[in-house]
Amino acid sequence: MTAGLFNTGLSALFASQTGLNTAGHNIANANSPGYTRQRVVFETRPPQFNGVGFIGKGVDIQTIERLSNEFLTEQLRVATANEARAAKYAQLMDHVDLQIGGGLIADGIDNFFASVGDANDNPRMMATRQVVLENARALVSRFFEQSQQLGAMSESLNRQVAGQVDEINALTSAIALVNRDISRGAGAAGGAAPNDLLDRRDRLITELSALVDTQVQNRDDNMVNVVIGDGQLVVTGTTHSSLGVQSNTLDPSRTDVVYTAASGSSVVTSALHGGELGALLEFRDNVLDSTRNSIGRIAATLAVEMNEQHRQGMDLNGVLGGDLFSIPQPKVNAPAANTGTISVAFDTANIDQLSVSDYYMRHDGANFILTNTLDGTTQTLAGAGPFSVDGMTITVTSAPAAGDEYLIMPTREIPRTMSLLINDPATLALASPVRSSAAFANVSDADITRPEILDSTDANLLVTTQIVFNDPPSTYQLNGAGPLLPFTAGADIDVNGWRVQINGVPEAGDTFVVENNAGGSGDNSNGLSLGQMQFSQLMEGGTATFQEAYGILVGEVGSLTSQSRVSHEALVLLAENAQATRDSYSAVNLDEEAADMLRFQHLYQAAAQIIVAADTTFRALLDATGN
Amino acid sequence: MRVTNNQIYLQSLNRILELQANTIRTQNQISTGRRVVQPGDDPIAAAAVLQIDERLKANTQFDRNGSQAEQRLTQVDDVIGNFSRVVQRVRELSIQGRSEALGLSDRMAIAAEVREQMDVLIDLGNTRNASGEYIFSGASVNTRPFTRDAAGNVTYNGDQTVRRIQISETRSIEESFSGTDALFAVRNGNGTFVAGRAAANTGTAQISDNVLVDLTAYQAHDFRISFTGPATYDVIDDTLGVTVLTAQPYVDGTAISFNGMDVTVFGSPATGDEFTISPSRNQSMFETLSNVVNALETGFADDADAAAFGFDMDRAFEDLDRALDRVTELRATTGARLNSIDAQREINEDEAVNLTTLRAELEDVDLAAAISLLTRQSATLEAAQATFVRTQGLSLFNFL
Repeated sequence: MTAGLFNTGLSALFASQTGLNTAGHNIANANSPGYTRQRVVFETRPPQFNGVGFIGKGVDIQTIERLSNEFLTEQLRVATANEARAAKYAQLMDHVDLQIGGGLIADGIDNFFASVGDANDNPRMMATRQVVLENARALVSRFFEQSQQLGAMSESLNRQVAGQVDEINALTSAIALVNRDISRGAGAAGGAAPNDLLDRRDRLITELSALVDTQVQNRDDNMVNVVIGDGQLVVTGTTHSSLGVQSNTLDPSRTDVVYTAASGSSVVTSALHGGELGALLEFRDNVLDSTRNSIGRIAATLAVEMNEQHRQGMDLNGVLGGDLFSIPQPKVNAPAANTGTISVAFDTANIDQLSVSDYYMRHDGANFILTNTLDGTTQTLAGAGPFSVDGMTITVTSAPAAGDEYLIMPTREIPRTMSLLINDPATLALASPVRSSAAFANVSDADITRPEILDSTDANLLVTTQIVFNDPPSTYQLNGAGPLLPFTAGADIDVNGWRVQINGVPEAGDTFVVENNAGGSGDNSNGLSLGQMQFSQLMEGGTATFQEAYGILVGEVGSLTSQSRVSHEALVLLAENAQATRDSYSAVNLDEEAADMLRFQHLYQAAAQIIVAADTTFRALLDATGN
Repeated sequence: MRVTNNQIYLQSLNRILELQANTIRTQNQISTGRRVVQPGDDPIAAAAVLQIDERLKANTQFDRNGSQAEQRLTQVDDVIGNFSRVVQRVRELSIQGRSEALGLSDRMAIAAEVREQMDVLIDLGNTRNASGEYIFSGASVNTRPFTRDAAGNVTYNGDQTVRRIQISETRSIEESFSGTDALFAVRNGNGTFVAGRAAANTGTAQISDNVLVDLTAYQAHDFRISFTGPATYDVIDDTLGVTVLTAQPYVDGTAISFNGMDVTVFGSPATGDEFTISPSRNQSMFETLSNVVNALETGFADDADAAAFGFDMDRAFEDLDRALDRVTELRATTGARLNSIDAQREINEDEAVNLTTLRAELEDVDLAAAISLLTRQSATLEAAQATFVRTQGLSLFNFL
């Protein structure tokens, strides 16, 4: 009987010690991230029948319970993943927003046109012409710099993707190891899972889901399987599969994520969403590429339009203007396996149709299918071409075969490769190549407008042309020969690539002359036309000036940045709430543990008294028996 | 609800961090004076500010252009004022020289001064601007516009293109006049037609007071008034080769009307004398002055010569009047252009003020609001910090 009391006392001592240990463990880990509080579950021992009734035999420890709620853990994991994604996205947006908002391009455009304005005031002055060239060069380098910054961001994105793939591999391998440890531990303990390892695994899975959307499948053996993307198993019990990176086959400047499983490897970039990796990929596809294209589009349109106008002018040496800027043609990437070849050029007449998208083109055996990579729309290019699409002309240079594919990036590389062609300020073509005049001997005071250049490549552009009125002056002849042309006041007279109008009522014999403007070095007609391009809506299908197109980009990037901030702030709150809800259930309350400690201390003291009582009882028996 | 230490700690800390971030943001806005630091702060404002900046810079450029044009037009105006003085002076001299009381030597002296005035006019026509450009040579600013050839005739070497200066997005003005417009292409006669006296005339009749009375009846043909006797004349349209009026009786000083014109012949014509009427043609002011000189320097032997002199001088007066008309017209145009520049400058200034205000509203921080916000935010932050310490201090362990 005394032995029973000893045993009961001992069981209570052991129970209180375990209780104290657990409370101590809880206190010790109060600040450990992801720690789940534990609780000792006591159970009364089965009683012993002594003939008249059942005598209690003390207490047993049934288990050490882990106060975890799978729903709350899952919720926290999802909230953390969303917050991580939004944080990364907002950070990336903020970065591009700061760069675009720096006004690098806007100032460059303004300064360039201001210098053209000064040159038009003093077209013969070398200094003002020099300033135009310097500002044009500065504009080119601003485009370069802006593009370089964004390009550096793209390279950094690739490195970050690779880095995150490494991290994902490290995490999945760690999860597989913990799975093994948990399985072994549970086996040794006869099914009871090691609580602290479960915490560790939860934490690893949360970390993984902060990188990429993750699904967890529980198994019967205390282990879990982890799935990412659209079904890529990365942890299967104690084994894990690796992700890798490689360059995109069509666009080597773009890093793809590759999933390698027993069945082989496949590119899974487009399947990965959520988490920081998802944010990186989404940002690259939806923002960075189109922002770079947008900058490139302004550069390309400005260069093409400026060149067009500049070629319609004449320089200080009396020579027709050449191209002001050198711009490369749209970049085309083609795999070596293609059968045919194509070439893509800017369609200068429709340059205002340029988009900010890239294009994926594939031959289906009969036709080329062109996909706008930004909005996903496709169009079929039937026939042999050339095809005029969105400000580009696509020419098939050798016959294609089914499966030929191309990536066309119309504007992205323009800012990095364009340059100023003119170095000598005298070769800036500010003057009109031809001038018009009314002959001194004219009887009427009819006047002739300044010539407008229709085609600066006309071989006879600079040839002197006399418009001589016949008698009666309802008709005129050119250079006193050829057909009699009917005259209407104010109507276009188009000859040799130029256009003039004659206003008023000419008399017979009145003569007007259009001739080479060599020597007209004080003329700024073409300079005025160049300057006027600042206000011409030459972009977005003829609805936006250069600066407005830039403003639209700034507005778009700004809106996306603002949205990303708002959504990040909301998700931070959700994550905090999920953390709070989980903590409320699973985290340690020190006061609670202090109370438990007091309780178990008292229990221990009382249990010690049971031992004392048993001892005293036993001694009394010994004393009574005289032994 | 069960509250754990983690919760108390994290929630208080998160609030403090958030308050700190907000306070710093407000402080940053106050110290920079800007509400929109990057487009993401207010995308619409950021895009609008870009357009405003472009307008403001363009406005500044237009003002610069305007000042440049103003400077040049002021110079042009000065020079044209001097043209006017030259023409006026020649007119005065011509009136003096017209007097039949003067002898040839007196007229030679007057002619000498007219010659000098002509030199002055050439010099004026060859004026250069501050950049060393000829202001009346059109776009051929490097070409000396007015030169005298071996025969003493002044030629214009420039062109008819006048440089324009952009003073607003939609408006450009010409900064000068071509030499053709300024001094060369001036209509002679009355501006529509001009009378002539045949050199072979032997009578003393002259022709003057030529006016256009009916523009609709007027045809730009060459006419000839031919005296078939001392008191009868025919009017012949040489362009069509038809006689318009036949055997008309001549009345001294009475207007002869045909083709919408009134011309007056006075004095005594001789049989065979002829006067011509032809459409006005361009005549340079130099030619006009040169005509005056030639008339003054011609001596006359008989009455017919005197009549020729009188006719030439009358013709010169007409042409000098046309020259004065032209000069007046040029000055009026210059004045109008200068006014345009002034008006445009005012428009630009108003626009700049409006745009600057709008820009400030879009981008700048409202200091009063921001400072009061900052005061509230820092008070809240301080309270949060104080209570954080208090709640963290609450523990059962304090009493064990």
